[in-house]
Amino acid sequence: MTVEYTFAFGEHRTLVGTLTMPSTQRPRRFAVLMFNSGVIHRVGPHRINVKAARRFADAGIASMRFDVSGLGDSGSSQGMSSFDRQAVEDLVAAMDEVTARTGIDRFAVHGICSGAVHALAATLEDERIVGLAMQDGFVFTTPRARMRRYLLPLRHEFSRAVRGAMRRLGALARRGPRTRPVVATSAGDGPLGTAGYTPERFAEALDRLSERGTSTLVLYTGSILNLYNYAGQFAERIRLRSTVSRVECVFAPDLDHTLSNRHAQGRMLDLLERWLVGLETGAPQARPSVPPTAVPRPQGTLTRRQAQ
Amino acid sequence: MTPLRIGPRERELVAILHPRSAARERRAAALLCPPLGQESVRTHRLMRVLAERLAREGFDVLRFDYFGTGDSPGDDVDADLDGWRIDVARAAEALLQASGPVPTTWIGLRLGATVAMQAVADVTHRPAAVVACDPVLDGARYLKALAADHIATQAASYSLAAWRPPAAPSTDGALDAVGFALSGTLQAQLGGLRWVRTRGPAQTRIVLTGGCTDLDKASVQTTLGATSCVALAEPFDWTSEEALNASLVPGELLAALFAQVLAP
Repeated sequence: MTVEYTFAFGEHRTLVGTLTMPSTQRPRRFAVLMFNSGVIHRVGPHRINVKAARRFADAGIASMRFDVSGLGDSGSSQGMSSFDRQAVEDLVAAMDEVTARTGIDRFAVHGICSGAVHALAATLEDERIVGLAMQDGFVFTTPRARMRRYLLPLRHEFSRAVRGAMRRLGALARRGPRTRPVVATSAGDGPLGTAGYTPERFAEALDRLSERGTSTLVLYTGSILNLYNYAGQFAERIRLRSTVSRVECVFAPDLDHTLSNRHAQGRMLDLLERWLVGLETGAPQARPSVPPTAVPRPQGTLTRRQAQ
Repeated sequence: MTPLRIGPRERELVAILHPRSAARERRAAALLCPPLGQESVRTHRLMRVLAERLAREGFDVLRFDYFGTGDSPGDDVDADLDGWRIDVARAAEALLQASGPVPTTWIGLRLGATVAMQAVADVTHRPAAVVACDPVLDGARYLKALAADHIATQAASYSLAAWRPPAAPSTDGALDAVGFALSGTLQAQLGGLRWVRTRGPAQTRIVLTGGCTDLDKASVQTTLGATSCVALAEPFDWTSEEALNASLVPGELLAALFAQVLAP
C-alpha cells in the first residue's frame, strides 16, 4: 500500500514532483529520488519510475519522482545556470523538499542514461546521498568490447555483420589511421553528455564516494552492446583504488535501455530493491584485488542456444 | 501550472491545471485527454505545449492521467475503457469547478479521443466541441498495431543481443504493449470496440496525422458525422521511443490542434 502526494516545490515553486510513502510501515531512513531520463517526464521510460516507487514503498522505502526545470511538468528555471548545473540544483531542492515533508535526510538517486550524469554530479556534491544507481550512464569501451561488438551479430545475423564490417573497413581505409582517445560515452547522448570523464577520473569519483560511505550501483543493459558487452569490462577499465569498495557493477544483457518490456521492468525493480535494501544494512566490502562485478545469470545471455 | 489530485480517494487522478492568462478577454476551457501507454509518454510534451498556448489565449486548461496510467495511482493492468470514461467525466467536473460554466472544448489523442467522444454523454456540462486526433475506431486493429509496434521496439532495443524477451502472453493474461501491460479486460474491450456509423458528439472535429494509415479522411468524417476533418502531411509515430530522438512536438500537428480548438 502506498500514499502519494503531487505538488509544486522549489524556490519559485516551479518544480513538480510526486512523493510516494509506504502506508503500512515506518519508512526506512533514506528516500529514493527519480527524475527525467532524456526528455521523458517524471514517470520515466515506460512508467518505470511510477512502478519503482510503488515497489519501493512496499519495501518501506519512500521516494520522490520529479521533473527537473524545463522538462515534464516543471517550469523553466528563473536562474542563469546551465541545464546540467540546474539539474543538480533541482536534485538538491528535491532533497530539501522530502526532508521538509518527511524528516528523511538521506537519499539514493537513480539516474538513467543522461540522468546518470546529473545523478553523479549531485552525489559528488551532496553528502546526503548515500546511494547512487546509474543505468547506461558512463560507458568505457575496451579493445575486447570493440572486437566483440562485431562478433556478437555473427551469432545470429552473419551476413548483416559482414556487410557492416566491410562498410566500416572501407570507411576506415578511406579515412586512414588516427588515434582515438578513450572517453566516456553516455548512451543516447553522445560523448558530450559525460562532462569529459576519463576512466581514471570516473574511478577517482567512485573511490571518493566509497570512502565517504556512499554505495554505487552501475548497470549496463543489452541495448548498448556496441559499447559494453561482457561482464568484466567495467573492472578492466575502471581501476578502483580505495581500500573499501562500495561499487557494484551489473551487466544485464536481458534488460534494454528503456525497459520496454515487462521482463526487463521486473528484473530492474528486483535489482534496485535488493540494492536499496542493502544500503541500510550493508557494511563496506573489503576491496578484492579485482573490483567486484556482480554478474547475474540472467534468463538471457548471449548464447546461440538461447537465441533459438 | 498547478498540480492537482482529483477524484475520490480510491480512484485519484493526477492532473495539471493551466489557468488562463488574465490578459485575455476570452473565457473558455479545454480538457486534454491523453492516449494509451507509450503513446501517452510520447505525447506528454505535445500536451503541455498545447495547454500553455491555449492558456495564453484565455483557456483554463486541464491535463490529467487516467487511473492506472501516467503519474496517477493504479497499475498498468488497472486501466480499462469503462474506467477511463468515468475519469474523463471527473476531470471535466474538476475543470468546470476551476473555470466556471464557460464554453469548453475537449481534445483527445488516439484512444483518448475515442473515450472522450463516448464520455460526452456522461456529463451535464457538455463540451461545445470535441477535437479528435487519430481516434481509434477499430479496437481490434489497434491491438494488432500495438503488438506489431512492440515487436519492432524489441528488435530495435536488443539489436545486437541474441536474447529476446518472452513474446507469449504472461500468466496473468496481460499483453505487453511497448512496455505497458494491457489487462485481459482492456484487451477484450478493445477487441469489441468498433465505431460503425454512430455519430460522434455535436461539433466533432477531426485531425488526422500523415502516418495514420488505419483511417482515411472521407470514411472517418462519415463514420463520426464530423463537422470538419483536417488531414496533415506530416506523419507522427505514436509509439516511438524518445530515446531514439523522435520529434516530440511536431509543428504542423500542434498548429492543427490549436486551430481546431479555436475554430468557431
